[in-house]
Amino acid sequence: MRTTLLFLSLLLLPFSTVLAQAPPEPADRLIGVWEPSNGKARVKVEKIGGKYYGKIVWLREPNDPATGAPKVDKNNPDESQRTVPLRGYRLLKDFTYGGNDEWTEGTIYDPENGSTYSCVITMKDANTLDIRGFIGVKALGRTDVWKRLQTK
Amino acid sequence: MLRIPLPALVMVALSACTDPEHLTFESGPIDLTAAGPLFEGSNTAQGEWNTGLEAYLTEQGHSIGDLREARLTSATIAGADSTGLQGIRSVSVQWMGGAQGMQQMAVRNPLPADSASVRLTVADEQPKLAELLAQGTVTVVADLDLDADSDADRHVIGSFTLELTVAP
Amino acid sequence: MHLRHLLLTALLLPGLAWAQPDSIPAADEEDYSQYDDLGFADDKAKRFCSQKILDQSPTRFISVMWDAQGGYDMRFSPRGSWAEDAELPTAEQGRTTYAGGLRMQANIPVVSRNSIIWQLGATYWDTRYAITDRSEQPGSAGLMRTLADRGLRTAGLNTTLFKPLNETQFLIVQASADLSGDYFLDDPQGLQYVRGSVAALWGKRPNDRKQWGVGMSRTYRVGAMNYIPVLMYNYTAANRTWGTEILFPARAHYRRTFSARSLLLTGYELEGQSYRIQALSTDDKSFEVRRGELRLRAEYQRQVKGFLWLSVQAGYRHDWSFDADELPGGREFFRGFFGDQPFAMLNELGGAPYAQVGIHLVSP
Repeated sequence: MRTTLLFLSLLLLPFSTVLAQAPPEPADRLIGVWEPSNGKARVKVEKIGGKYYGKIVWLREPNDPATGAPKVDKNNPDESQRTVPLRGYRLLKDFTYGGNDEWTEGTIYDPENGSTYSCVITMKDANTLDIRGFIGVKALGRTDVWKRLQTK
Repeated sequence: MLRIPLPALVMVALSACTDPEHLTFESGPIDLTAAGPLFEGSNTAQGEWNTGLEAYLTEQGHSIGDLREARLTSATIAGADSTGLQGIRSVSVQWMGGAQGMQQMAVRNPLPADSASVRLTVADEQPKLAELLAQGTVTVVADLDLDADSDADRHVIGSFTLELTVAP
Repeated sequence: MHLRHLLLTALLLPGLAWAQPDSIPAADEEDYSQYDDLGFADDKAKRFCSQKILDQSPTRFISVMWDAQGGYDMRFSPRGSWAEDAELPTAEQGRTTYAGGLRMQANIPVVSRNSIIWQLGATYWDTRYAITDRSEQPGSAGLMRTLADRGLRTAGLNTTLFKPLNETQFLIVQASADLSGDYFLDDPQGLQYVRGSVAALWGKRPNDRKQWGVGMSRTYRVGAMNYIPVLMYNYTAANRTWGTEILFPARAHYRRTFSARSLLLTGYELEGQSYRIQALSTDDKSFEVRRGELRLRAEYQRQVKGFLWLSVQAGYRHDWSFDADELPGGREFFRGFFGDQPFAMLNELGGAPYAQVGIHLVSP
């Protein structure tokens, strides 16, 4: 019996190693570092509790020119939370993978005006995302193209 | 004899019946961990909070279905060991869970130097908090803005006080 | 037993490895300096400049406004063939106590990407007149009576194309087709009287706070059709409290920014159209009032809730033109600033205070 199990485990080990190196599941292709079209920020998408979140990890202009201090979320409609630092801020929230290269049910936040929009993310190819923020219906929206970044 | 019109009596009786009850609910200490290595800047500490809200409401003679509204009234972050909150420049706390999206709950930026425990500024806007709490488990995310790199994990303790509005 | 554990472990290990992204800590902590030196994964990726600058007043998807002006005298000449500077007798006069009405505008993006933005829009403006102390001399055209009875309307379609060429340069092409006159929507005038406006502009956006451009336009903003150079200059000061929003000569505003949710514009706008008057027109000749207004104004805009914004505007309306032309066969002609083609009527409107209030659904 022991010999059979040992044999089986040896047989399966290489297979399990192959599994470990398999490409990520389709939903996880969103994970990575992306740059919005304005080039002003870099956003890292990660998975928390089965949903996808994108946080600012780099800002072209990290400090507020008026104060010289690191930028904060000064346009937040909730005045009590306007001191949250922008670097580390999650502007993409609560996305779930809906199949067909689309992540839905999420929101995008624009720190420039403090507005939160409904949002759908479509992966056009491995390195390109269409990020469509919209109001109520998708037709009333704007699409920004984000590009994947990698180490040079 | 004092004559009170019947409709007024009915109104008084109804309002007495429907007066909601307010309860204060404490989370107790929640361990929030940011696993090392940690880097200068924003690092995420996270912890699961099993609220025990259902048991608490039962204790108070209510059921979870009686919960009408919840409001975070106080949020405190404390160091978990002798280092206190040293090296942490700011803390921002979000809650999420189940179908409820992540929501901003509290912030303190900057933190007073060398403090062991700080009270955060609680968000004015707290949409759908009752629905989130009713799920039983809340994921507490605390973004810790660190002033230096470190290899070790960082633990902080979150404590929250809520005011609950329950139907009688 | 141990062997069974070994086997299980061997099978489950990869699964555990995949489960890791779900548990934040190991994957989440950031060496932020690593993001300084990243490049596009796709070599062909290109950056484009944005359509707006920081703090610019919000782009409107849908607007519903009410415009009102009043308390001014009108003096119309007889109908004829008159040189612009002719001294003419007054054939009609009256006092307008109210001129205004509903204005609706929609601008919906058909394509909205960072490499191109293409919008389609529709406009409907209604102007009704309340005129008192009206008097008509023999030989009058009866224009004032027509205004009082029927008012003026403009309905149009427009399109805007914003094409960024790279990170700093862009092109804008805007075209509109408007039907203006004293018609009613249930009895519109023929499409042969549609008047077209077009503007093309090349510009630069050197940084997030400045945008300028130069171009040419065919416009009815001064009433009659004209070809006018266009200059754009949108600017926001470094302290983010003020700026300019200029598309000269159509409009120029100084902007005072109070917050991301409220701002004040002060300046002027030229607005106008060529309005065909049905009763004074024949199949051979289209009688058109060249209405052009200079509106000196202040406009306060603020967010009401979410994407709903309110605007309140008040100012002084100066009459740029209310003269009329006869267009043979309805065909447009170019007079420009220096042309000497005669007018069919020379009319004068006194200046008037005006106000406008609007509610807008603004763009992300």
